[in-house]
Amino acid sequence: MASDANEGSFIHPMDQFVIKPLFGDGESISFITVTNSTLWMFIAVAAIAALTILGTRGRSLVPSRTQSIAELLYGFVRNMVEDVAGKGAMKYFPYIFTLFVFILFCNVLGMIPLAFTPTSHIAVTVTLALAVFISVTVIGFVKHGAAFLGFFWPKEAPGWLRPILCVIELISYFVRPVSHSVRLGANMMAGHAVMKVFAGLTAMVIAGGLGPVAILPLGAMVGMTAIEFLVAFIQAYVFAILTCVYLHDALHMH
Amino acid sequence: MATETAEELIHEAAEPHASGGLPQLDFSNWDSQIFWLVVALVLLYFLMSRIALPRISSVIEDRADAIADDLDQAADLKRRAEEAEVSYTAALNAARAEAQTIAAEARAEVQKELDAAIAKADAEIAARTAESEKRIAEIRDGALEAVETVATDTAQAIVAALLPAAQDEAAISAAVKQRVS
Amino acid sequence: MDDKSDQRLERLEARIKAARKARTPASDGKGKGSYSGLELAWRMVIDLVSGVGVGCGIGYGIDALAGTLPAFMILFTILGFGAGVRVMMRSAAEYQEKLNASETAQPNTAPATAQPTTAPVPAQDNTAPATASEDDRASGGR
Repeated sequence: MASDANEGSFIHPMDQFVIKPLFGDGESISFITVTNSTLWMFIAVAAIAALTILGTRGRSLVPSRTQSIAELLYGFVRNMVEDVAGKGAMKYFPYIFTLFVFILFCNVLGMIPLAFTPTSHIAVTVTLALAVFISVTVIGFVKHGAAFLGFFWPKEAPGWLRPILCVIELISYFVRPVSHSVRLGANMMAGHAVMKVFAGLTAMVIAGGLGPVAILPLGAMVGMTAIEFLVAFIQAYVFAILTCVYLHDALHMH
Repeated sequence: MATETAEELIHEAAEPHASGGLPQLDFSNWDSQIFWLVVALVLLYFLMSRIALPRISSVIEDRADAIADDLDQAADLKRRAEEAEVSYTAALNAARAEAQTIAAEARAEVQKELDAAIAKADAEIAARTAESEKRIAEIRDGALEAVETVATDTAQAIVAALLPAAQDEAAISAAVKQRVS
Repeated sequence: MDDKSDQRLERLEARIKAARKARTPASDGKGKGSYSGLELAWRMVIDLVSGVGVGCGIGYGIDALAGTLPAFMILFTILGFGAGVRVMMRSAAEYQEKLNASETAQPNTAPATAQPTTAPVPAQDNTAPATASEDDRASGGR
């Protein structure tokens, strides 16, 4: 640690995102290598299963605490899908619910000290966004056939402008998965990195013998932690609600 | 945090480029991440859509039914309570009216008896009054007669004393009678 | 005792009604989300940047295939910017619509949400006619 301090960066804020294999010496990572990211993804799955399956096994009319949390989540996502995507989208409710709780639990579990946040990785968010993008596009084409292409053809614009607007519409359609994934990944990464910066700052101030001054970065860190919990929820929510918006577009073509 | 940084140091020693650019842009581990992500998502999807969501929705529906039933029952009980209250007030009013009629009847009876007694008393009083008057009249008549006799006697005595010659008993008694009555 | 039971009936009625009302608007939902303006701004910036990025990427791809390096890349970067603006404007319109919707929905949702908190008030209101009718009955009986 002393050598690290000499290098100038006490705790590297990006080190928390490094993917390490859990078994073996980690020379190379093949596609079935179990890494810390894998571990935390499955911890999230296990936590969700514990909450929604073990927590509700009583099926009681007066819910236990875990059951009422599970019901709260259910009602929240259900209302969102109904309100934003419409009643016709209820078929895809389990899909959106899965995405939402997975992202939510990955984000929140990532707040545990020393935990890894799978959703801070572009690889994960791109896969999630592409899954949404591809499934929504497929749903659009299955439901409307080739008429779904009319989604990109602006009818109200003057004639000569239409091809250009069509290209713009097409690009903006492809912007969706990019912004969808970048938003989630960047938010999770930036928040965690900033927290690490403040933590490093606190440690540096204390190591530098300026004990009481450490209250400043420490206070900032406490504030950041609160904001991060909010962001963890909001990002899962935004991801799910935008999925609903896209689904609505695909089902109703505006 | 100390263990993490220690691990980090080891890791950095093993893989020098990790400390350089973003770990997110290290494409060598993307296939592992994506593979396990897909596995986790598929697993989670099946857990949710097969077990968790149907169970939660059935529980919520059951509860909604139970609450609706309970509310209906509560409304029914409330209606019955209202009915009971209505019949109670009706009975109360009926009882009150009956009590009033009974009281009125009793009062009328008492009044009748009272009237009868008063009438009887009045009659008795009238009879007695009449008798008394009669007696008084008799007494008065008696008294008048006595007065006449005394007056006549007195007059005769006076006449005898003053005018012994003019002793006419009949004339004196007639004169006295004329004067007295 | 009589007017007490009357009050209790009225209160029961109010509670049953409140419980029924609280259950019915559940299907209305509560508008379209509630993320803050800051979140929206952040969303727009990312939309714009990724619009430019996607445009640039598509242009570069076409250039790489056709061998006309800067031309399509510049064109598509501009188009990508346009797409970013388009997405941004759409989400702004969506947000505006949501604001309007929540404003129009306010009078509807406000009493529904206020129902449980003001539940004692209608119960109190109902006691007034109850005692009045009780007075009427008492004076009528006398």
